[in-house]
Amino acid sequence: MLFLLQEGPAETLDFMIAGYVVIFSVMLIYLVSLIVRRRNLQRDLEILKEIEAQESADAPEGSDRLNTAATGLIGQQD
Amino acid sequence: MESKPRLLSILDVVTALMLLAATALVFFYAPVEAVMGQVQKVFYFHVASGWVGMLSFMTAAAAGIIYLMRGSSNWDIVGVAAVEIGIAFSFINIVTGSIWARPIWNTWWTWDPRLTTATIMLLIYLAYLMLRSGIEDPNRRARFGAVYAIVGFVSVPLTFFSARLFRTIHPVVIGSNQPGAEGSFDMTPLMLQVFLFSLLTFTVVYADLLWHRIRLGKLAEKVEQLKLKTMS
Repeated sequence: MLFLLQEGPAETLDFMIAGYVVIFSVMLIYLVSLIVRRRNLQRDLEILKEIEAQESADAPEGSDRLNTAATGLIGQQD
Repeated sequence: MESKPRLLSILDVVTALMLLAATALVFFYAPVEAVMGQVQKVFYFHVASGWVGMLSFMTAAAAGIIYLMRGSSNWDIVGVAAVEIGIAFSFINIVTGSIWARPIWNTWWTWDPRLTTATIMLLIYLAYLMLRSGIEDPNRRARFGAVYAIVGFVSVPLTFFSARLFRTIHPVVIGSNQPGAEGSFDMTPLMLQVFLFSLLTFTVVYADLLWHRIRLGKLAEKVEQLKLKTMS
């Protein structure tokens, strides 16, 4: 509270810098987490599609039904 | 792989430019406050973060109500996306508040009504994510999330009005101020301009992040469904 007695603004530049470092760091971390999670999910999706395609090839009698269901599932738009 | 909507790409660019402009305004256009000095500049993004946090939790509550009415998983995805963003920005709000408090209140933390209610609000929504992750059944998880987001929203107006209802040292910059508040200041027209632009910028940042997070949620749902189908 001593700053109230001094002339001119208090020397608080370090705290301002610290504040903005926190703001931009948290926002950046969140942004990176979104990118990483999206990349991982896309990789998972590719693997699952491959597994499904293999299963369809191994079981030809059920393939029509499976393919129809998979197309409907994968074809959903955001 | 689904392509990114053109409108989202435009929103990304607009968001980045607005954030850059808001930062430049804070550092080079907004005047230095006469008593507190440079640390007062934390105010612009501190309040804007708090605004985004509360807006997110309001979105989650609204999404919860719509989910309970319609039962569409899309609204559950919106709800969880909003909560996640709200947590990130509420965290920014609390930490920057603590940094601002250190030179002004001479302490990093005090159990003041505003600080306490803001922390409880953050913990309530952190618990939302933790509890959700423990529920396997997607329908049950979504129903739980919807009810929790609606009930948890009670903490938002309580946090917002705490500085106005209770005796607190936290300043109320807009509207009447508390006599015991420390660190309050009169906003000059330049400060007000930067403040309003920061609020607008953070609202756009929120919209952009929410859209990205919803797309991520839909992709996760697709992967989850495909996993269940492959395992069965």
